[in-house]
Amino acid sequence: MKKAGLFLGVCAMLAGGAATTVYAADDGPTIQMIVMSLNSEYWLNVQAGAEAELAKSGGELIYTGPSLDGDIQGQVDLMQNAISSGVDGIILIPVDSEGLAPSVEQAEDAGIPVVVVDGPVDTDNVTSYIATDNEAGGRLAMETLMDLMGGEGKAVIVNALAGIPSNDGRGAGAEEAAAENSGIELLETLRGADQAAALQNVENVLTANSDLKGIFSAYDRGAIGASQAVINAGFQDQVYQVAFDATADEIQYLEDGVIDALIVQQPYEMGRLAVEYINKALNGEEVPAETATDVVVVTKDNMDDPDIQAVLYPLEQGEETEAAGTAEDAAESTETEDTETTKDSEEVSEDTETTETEE
Amino acid sequence: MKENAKKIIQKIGSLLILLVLMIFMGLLSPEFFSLANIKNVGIQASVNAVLSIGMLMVIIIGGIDLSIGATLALAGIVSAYLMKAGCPVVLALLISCIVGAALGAINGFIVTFMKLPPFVATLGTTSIFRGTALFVTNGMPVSQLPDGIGVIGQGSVLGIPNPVVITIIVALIIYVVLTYTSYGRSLYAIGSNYEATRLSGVSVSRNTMITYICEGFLAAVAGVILLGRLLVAQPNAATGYESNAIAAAVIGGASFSGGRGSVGGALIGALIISVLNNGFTLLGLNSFIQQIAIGIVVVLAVFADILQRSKVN
Amino acid sequence: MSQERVLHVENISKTFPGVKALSNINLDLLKGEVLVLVGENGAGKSTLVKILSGIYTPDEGGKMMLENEAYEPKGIRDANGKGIYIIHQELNMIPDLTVTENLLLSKGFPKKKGANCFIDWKEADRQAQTIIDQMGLKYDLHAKVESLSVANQQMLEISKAISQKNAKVIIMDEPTASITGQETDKLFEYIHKLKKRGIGIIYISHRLEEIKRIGDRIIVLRDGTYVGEKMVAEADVDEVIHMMVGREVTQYYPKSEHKAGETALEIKNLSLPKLVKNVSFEAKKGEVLGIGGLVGSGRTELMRGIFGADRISSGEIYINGKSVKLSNPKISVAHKIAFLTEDRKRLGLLTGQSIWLNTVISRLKKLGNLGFLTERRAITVTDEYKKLLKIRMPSSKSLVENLSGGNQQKVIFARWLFSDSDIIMFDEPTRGIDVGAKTEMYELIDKLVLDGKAVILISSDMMELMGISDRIAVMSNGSLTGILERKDFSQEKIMELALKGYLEN
Repeated sequence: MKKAGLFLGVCAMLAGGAATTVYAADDGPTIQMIVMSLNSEYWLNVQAGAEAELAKSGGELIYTGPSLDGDIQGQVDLMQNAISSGVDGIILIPVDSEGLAPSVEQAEDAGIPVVVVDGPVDTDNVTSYIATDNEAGGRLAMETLMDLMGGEGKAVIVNALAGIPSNDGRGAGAEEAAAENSGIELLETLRGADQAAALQNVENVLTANSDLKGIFSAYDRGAIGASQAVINAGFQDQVYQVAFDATADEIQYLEDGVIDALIVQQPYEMGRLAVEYINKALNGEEVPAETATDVVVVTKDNMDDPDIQAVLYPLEQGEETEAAGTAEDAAESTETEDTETTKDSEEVSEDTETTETEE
Repeated sequence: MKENAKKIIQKIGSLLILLVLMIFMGLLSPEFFSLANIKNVGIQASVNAVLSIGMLMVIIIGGIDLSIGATLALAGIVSAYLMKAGCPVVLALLISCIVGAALGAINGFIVTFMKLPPFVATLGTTSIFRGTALFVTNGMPVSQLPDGIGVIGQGSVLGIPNPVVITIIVALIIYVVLTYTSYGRSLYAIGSNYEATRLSGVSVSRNTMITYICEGFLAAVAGVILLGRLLVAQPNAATGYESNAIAAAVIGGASFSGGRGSVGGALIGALIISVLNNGFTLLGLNSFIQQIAIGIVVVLAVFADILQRSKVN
Repeated sequence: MSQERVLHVENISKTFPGVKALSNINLDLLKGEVLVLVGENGAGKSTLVKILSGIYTPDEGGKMMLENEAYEPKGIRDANGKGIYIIHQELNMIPDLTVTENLLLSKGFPKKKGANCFIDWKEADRQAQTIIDQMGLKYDLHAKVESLSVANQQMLEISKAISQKNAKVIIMDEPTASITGQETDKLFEYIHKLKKRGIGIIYISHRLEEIKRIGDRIIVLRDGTYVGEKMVAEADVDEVIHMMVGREVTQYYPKSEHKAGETALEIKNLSLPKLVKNVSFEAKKGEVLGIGGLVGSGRTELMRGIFGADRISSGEIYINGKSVKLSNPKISVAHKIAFLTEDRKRLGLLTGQSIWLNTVISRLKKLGNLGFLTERRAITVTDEYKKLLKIRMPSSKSLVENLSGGNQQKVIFARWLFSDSDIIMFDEPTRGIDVGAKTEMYELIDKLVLDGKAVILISSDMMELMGISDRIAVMSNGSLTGILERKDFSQEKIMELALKGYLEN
């Protein structure tokens, strides 16, 4: 089954630049997840959360996505395929808010509940929208950075190419926060498609601004490129860095003191919630139209806390719970842990703020 | 004498654009001519420079290779996996370059023996190579590589950053090959008239094949530099790099109809693109304007070339 | 025949930067007259043609009149609109389009009644049929032009130009260069009809015997100036050649006593997938083996098959008595065979490249060890051939396309001398080059033979073929119909053999 799925995936990749991985089938609903691209490990966290929730009801999760970033048409094609193959529900992580709207409406009209995760789609005809409040996240990131900088100096935002709603939201939130603080001079945002571009851009900015004090990277690859530029130029001790997400490389940089704080979302929780909502919708129950999941500020100081570890490594947690025993047990434990984490994280973020201001 | 003057004018065309750009950037941004920044420009130009030199060879024989970005990515992933499996860094990089050459050979085979137009052939192999890279990595980057690889990206020889050293070595070798070997000279002949060159007893198939192999090899060398810089091999690395490589070669005077182009020109082309990127960020200008500027320079450089040639003729 | 003049050219000059291409030309073209323009390449013929067709604007001070009205064409379309048409030496057909499409492309396609945006293809085919019927051509209107032979394309071009209703003057630039004698006859027949219609014809040709047949008056140009004119009836070929080249041509076909040696190349029962069947012959050291035959008889195909440019289907090839497999040109070159192709531009010259690269391309490795070579060494070699072959060129580094046709041909000649070839196959070596360069070419071929090389020469110019060959093998419809010894040469015999293959079918 899995092999066949992989084979299909390769065919799809070669034909249309999209890959498919099919997981174990059961009697429950068949849910197709369409991620932004198969290129980022981040979405695997959403997948893991969804798998864990789906394990309760039984069912099949089809994990798909275009192979390249920013491929709107690729996502639209996958949506069309999902609709025509008659899946029971769709979890969509859209690359574009307008481009995907017609397909979402089409699916809903065909009676397939669509839960949109991570970034919005421009339509009201959607079952539910679960996302980090990216603007608030960006705001929190910039506030954290400004605290680290002592409230003054030059800062720059490293962002992906324009047009991805979640990244744009973080950028906008961060800019807003910076504008409220007159001590902060925010340079022109650096945009780049990948790590190589971020590396080059930050190298150049460091050359022109040897007094740069802060960098906020709104996406993971950008953060890694920025960190490499900072290390190459020997600016680790001068430049504070705050970055979104928590990939292995970012966590390493956090441990090394190159990155000072990570703004971590809860993709696992999003995936879990998305499946829960689809199941509810299929049963005719009400589901909330919008759910904002919290972000957690992780620093070198708090990163070893068990709660924070759970946020940093949701996959391992998922694996543990899956191994723990029956599906129901697993689901229960995840649920409780998640709620706890959310509460704690708020405390944690406050903690960090206070410690940093003391410095 | 007149011929020399003509050649100089042709070369100066793009060199002039580079100099004007540099003076302009230097005037607007005091940091531009700092040693650190000049190193930066050199390092940042290196990947594209190596790619564009390979592209140049293919363009000279009247071909095109759209698959270099995918070749770079796939070759890089092979070496990353080898390194993670405990293969010595140098050996892994060498194997990576051989993989690049092998991928180039696939392009060469399709163009030479299956007689597909290079544009279509390499469009197809782009998808094959990229798809393979995505398939073997499942779309994930391969990171946590041994420290040794960083030397290539971050180290330096006599104060010259290693990526620049590699680029200079590549440029010198290819310059000598194109100028002083019978193989190199035959490339210009093949590009200017394939059939006449064949009828002159030159092994056009073999030389075409070798050229695509060189191109694949150089794409992998560029991949090595990128790996040394990023310390991660990504299946989606270098997406779209082929257009910058083509732009650099064309800015430097290469002609799509074949038979024309020089290593010096391609280097200047790559530098122009890098100076634009670097300078625009130094000046704190919007990144989208860079894109526009590169496009304008490509059009202007080629137009200037056309003007000069029509004048001299 | 009316003696009214149709075109009057007065004091026309054309200066290019550094060169005066044409100075103070005067001429009158009468209605129904065939005015023959002769002169070496570079004499100013094509410049004059380009001025008449509106491609070039002449220098100030001159005057042109078309039927007593001032004539100042602003381009080819304008010239056509006023009634002047040109049949170019180079083909202007679009290979991917059909016969009908090519014929109607410039004048426009007929539209469907009531639906003006759609082409009426039935009517288009009817019009195209009318055009080719004039010349008695029997082509499939829906065949792509690329499927026609060069000669057939040339005929199509001619029929297209002469079908114009408003034509007052038709300029023909070497119209017979690539067509057969039979087709030439048809063309001349038609020129007579045009004359009767009162159309003036300017006819450019290197083929002096043709001029005798069709021309009324000859005007000779040299170095951009008017040298003189003669009525064709009174003109003597030697005299005209003298006017063209400005020197005494005592020996039109320079030829020493040749002594044929051993067999250099032997072909046994060679067949190609198309056309050529079962050809056998021997070429000996120290002789010129001429290959005669009509255009399309398979002569070029035969040479390409021998050289390995195309695949052969059966047959054996022996060089100096040893059996060889020449499966590609590289192997043939290694066996010291040379092939100077007919289509210089497409199959010979490396345009955009220096003269030196064009000279040394077939033996690049000879220039240095281990495949390394220097430009200086290549230039030294090229300069030697420049002296030896009297190639007129500014420098070995100049681009080859800047040379005249004759000098380009010499560069290709030099290429094969440099590669030390022993068996040299020429395909129409003097096509499109001027009389002076032709004579030099004959001298060079003669010298090769004296050096003991075997020369095989295809030529459609029968006088040339008889002038320089020691033996002539005649191809007809893909078969070799006979080999004549020099003592048996005659136009009638060659023509008889050339037609034989077609009669038998």
